[in-house]
Amino acid sequence: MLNLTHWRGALIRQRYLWCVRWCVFLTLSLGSVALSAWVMLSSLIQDLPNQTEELKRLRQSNDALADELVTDREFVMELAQSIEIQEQQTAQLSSRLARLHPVGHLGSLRLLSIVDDRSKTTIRLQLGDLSQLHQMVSDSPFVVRSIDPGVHAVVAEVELSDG
Amino acid sequence: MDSYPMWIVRYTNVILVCWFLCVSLGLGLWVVKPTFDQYVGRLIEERQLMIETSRAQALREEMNRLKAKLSEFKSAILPLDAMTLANQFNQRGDVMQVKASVDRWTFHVDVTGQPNPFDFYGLLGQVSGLLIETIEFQSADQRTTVRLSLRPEKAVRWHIYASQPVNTPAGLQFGQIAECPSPVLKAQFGDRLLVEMGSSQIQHIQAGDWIDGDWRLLAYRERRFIFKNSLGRTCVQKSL
Repeated sequence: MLNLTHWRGALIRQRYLWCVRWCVFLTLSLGSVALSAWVMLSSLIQDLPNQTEELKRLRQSNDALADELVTDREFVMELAQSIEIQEQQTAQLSSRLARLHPVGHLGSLRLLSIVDDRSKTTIRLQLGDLSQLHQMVSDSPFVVRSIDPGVHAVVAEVELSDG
Repeated sequence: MDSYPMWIVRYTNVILVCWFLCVSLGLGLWVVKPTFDQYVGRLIEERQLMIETSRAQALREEMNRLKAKLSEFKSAILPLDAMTLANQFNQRGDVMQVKASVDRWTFHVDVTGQPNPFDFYGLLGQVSGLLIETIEFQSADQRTTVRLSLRPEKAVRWHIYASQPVNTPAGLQFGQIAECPSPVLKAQFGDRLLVEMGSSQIQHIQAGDWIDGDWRLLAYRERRFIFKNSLGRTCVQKSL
């Protein structure tokens, strides 16, 4: 009977050695690849200067500048809004003064008092004749509150409001 | 023979593949990855530096633009307090009283003799942050006064250049018509009369002449003066 035990043992040993050799070979190959990659990356890293501190400083200064900008922008917006409010105020005052326009059509008169508040204007005036009140152009509504026929003039109190 | 197990033969390929993967992974994680991360970090840093540099430039440009705008605004818009406003009012009359509290400013101004008392509206049209509650004109005893009641808000500002002026009415005259004058006739030369007005004020008048701002002489008949006021009313006054 043929004894193959010795042959089988030799085969296993050869395969074992072959396997170890390939492992070493693979290790060396991969090691050299890793080393090459490391060398290349290190070289690339050296080409790029370390700018961490500069970046940090720049970022801090930019953030400070941005904060300052926000404050300035808010102030500019506040001033722009202030201009808008002032223009509205001018328009409102013009509108309040416009209530007096019908009085300009009355002819000769003397103003005794004007009380101008936001909703209405109350005027007391002296007129030569009561019929002058008919000349008031009714662009805006008005109410005659009182009439006092005096000796030298008629004193009337008129309330004018926005149309 | 028994010192080398049989599974080496059976799983040689698997062993080699596993070995390859393990060594690759080990070297990758231990050698390549940290360096690669460092490199990527540097690239990111450089990229961020470029972004921050351009951001800094944009911020500086924005800042310059805003500074110019602010400078323009600051020269045209000034903070306003009650006393500064009173000084402005003083240019259009005599400020008699100023009351300033946190929520209300009140001014009392004598505008007697001012060409247009309504100029106050134009002045207030240059202010922002001030709620105008009441403007009250009173004319008595040949004096005209204005009382302004204003409510300050958070920030009161004075706008030096008003974009659109307030159109104020003109030609409205303040003041009560005076009583019918009572002159004393001193002499008469034809149509001309020499009269004494009030306390020893002697003047020459004739029909059509204005005695004062309110009355003018229409005629002198039968020792009586006939006057007509600016409103068209007449009065007859016996010569004293």
